Amino acid sequence: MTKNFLEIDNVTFTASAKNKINNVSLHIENKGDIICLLGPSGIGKTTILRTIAGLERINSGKIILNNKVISSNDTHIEPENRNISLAFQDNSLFPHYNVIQNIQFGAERNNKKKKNLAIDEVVNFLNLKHVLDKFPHQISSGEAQRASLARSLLSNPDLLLLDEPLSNVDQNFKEEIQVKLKKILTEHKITTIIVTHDSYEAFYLGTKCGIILDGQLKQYDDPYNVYHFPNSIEVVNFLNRGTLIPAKVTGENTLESVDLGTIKGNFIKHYAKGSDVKLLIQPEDLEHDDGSNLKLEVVDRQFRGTNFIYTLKTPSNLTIPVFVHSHHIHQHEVDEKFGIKRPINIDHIVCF
Amino acid sequence: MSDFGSVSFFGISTLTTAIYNAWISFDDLNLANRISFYLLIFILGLLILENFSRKKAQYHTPTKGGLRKRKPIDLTGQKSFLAFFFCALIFFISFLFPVLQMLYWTISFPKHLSDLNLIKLFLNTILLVFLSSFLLISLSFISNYGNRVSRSKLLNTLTTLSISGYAIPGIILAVAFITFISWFDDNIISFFGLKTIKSIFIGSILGLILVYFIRFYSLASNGIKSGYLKINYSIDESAYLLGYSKFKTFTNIHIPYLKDSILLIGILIAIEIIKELPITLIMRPFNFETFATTAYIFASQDLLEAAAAPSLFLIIIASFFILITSRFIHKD
Repeated sequence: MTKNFLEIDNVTFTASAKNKINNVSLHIENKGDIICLLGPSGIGKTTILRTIAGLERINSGKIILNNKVISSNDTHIEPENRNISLAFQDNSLFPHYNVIQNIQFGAERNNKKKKNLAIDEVVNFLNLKHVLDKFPHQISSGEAQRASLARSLLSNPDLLLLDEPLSNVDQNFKEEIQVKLKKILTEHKITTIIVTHDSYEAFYLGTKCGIILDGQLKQYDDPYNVYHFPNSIEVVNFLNRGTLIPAKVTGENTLESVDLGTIKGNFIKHYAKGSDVKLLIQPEDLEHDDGSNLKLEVVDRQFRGTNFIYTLKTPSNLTIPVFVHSHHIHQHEVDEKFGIKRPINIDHIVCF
Repeated sequence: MSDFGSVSFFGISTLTTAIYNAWISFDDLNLANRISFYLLIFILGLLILENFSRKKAQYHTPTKGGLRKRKPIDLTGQKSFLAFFFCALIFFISFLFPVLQMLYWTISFPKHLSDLNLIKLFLNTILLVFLSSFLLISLSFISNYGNRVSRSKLLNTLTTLSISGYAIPGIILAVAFITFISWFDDNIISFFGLKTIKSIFIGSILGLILVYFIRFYSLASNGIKSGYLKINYSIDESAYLLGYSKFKTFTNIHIPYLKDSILLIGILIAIEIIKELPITLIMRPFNFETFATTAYIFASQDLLEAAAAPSLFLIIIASFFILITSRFIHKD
């Protein structure tokens, strides 16, 4: 008996003889939680979903859903008997049925149980009204992906698995769908595992995020913690939202860096005075100050609408990202000097 | 090598006609088997040669947009006339002239037509077409679906082997079938003191359909297989995940998707069977005639005028099937 809604206990997921994710243990505590799995392409994220759905078997560990073992070395409940829905990344709509008929396949299963979501509601939020009479080959890949998502949502599963559900959806429409999808999943308490390579999508949708790297589940935590408190250099490198610079611990709350000078803040882990560490600098850790005497050279500037990300070169040739509000009074061009506010105070200091 | 009707009519001695004569005229099954063996060796040699010639062949599929539609060339003047004349000549020689000649003979000699039991011939032909198509399509479906679900290498190999029948002339298959049944009856059935099974399988509709099955299984199996190749496996998986059992996925997803392919395969089998000659001649029950066997018997007796009417009906039925087929091809 477990108190968790879904429990994956020491399972090795096998995509191929060479491609495995070993000894994964994670749980979804509550019904209605959304977890996102992040990782580079080809690492085996889809295999995790396929295995949970029952399309692949496991040789070690066990998967428990709603207090029932659905996969283990000697148990394998067939996919059709799990009430788990998986929306594939590629177009898996039935080619000889039109979009509305495809969607009704999901609703048909729903009808056998307690009615949860209405077809109209899902069709509207996924903006599928104009393609309902069309066949899969007559619609775009983004529309097909949304239709597949609609079919899965309407089947009212105990567990919904989404494999890169919005990867083919236009960017302008993507954010709108993300908001509505989160609302629907939360309101209807649909427990969901989403596989994505888009960390922003994962951080927004997920109650928790799992980072899969080098055949392991490296970190499984709240999105905030995954971003601000990555537990390994691999996770930092994968998220690509900061730079590691060499520094020396000089006190309980201070470090000394050749490139940035004295840095103050709260260490999230204790390091002995005099230790050489690698300090994580994220774009929001440093502040811009034109009057500062700490000047670094601009090597790149990315305009992101709400903000700029300046990439600066340090004296020891490291590059550091710095976040600047979009309405900042002036912009700095490449090769210009860029001032960093001193003293440097970082809210939480992450070192390796 | 599979051709029997034409070479037999023109009196050309081939291994195929030799097998037929050995069995039908001389009642010598051993001789028929021996000649079949030589013919099989020859076929095997050709298959190896064909396989060898394709060994280094490579195929590239252009990515989306890589395929450019070729612009049709509009012919005018003399070129247009020559192209039209060439095509019309082929149509005239291969279809129009023989059909008109047969039509002329049928009208000129109405006695031959009235002597034919048209309804019986039609029903016999359709019975063979219907039973064979049903058996071939059903079993092809079972084996292909089994392959898809189980992904068993053994089943896949067996399916590949089972489609080799199309490469073997029908006459060899018929003789081999008779030999096997005779051996089985003489050695196994009689050993257990059971009633002979020869009459069930030799000179019966059942035996005839079984040999058709071996001969045309590749047509049905490859047709279903290529239909299945168009269905991405994730579609099956989606169905399972929507709560559909494997059987329900088969009936609700596969059958509706493949229904056009099934009809097309049925038509192709029908066209093959209504004109099939050597297997039908050897395996048919006594006095069981089809349009093809009736035409052959009259033609072999040099009664070409009498052979005209059944041939004409055979062409009408085949043309009807071909018309349906071409409509499907255009639709595709």
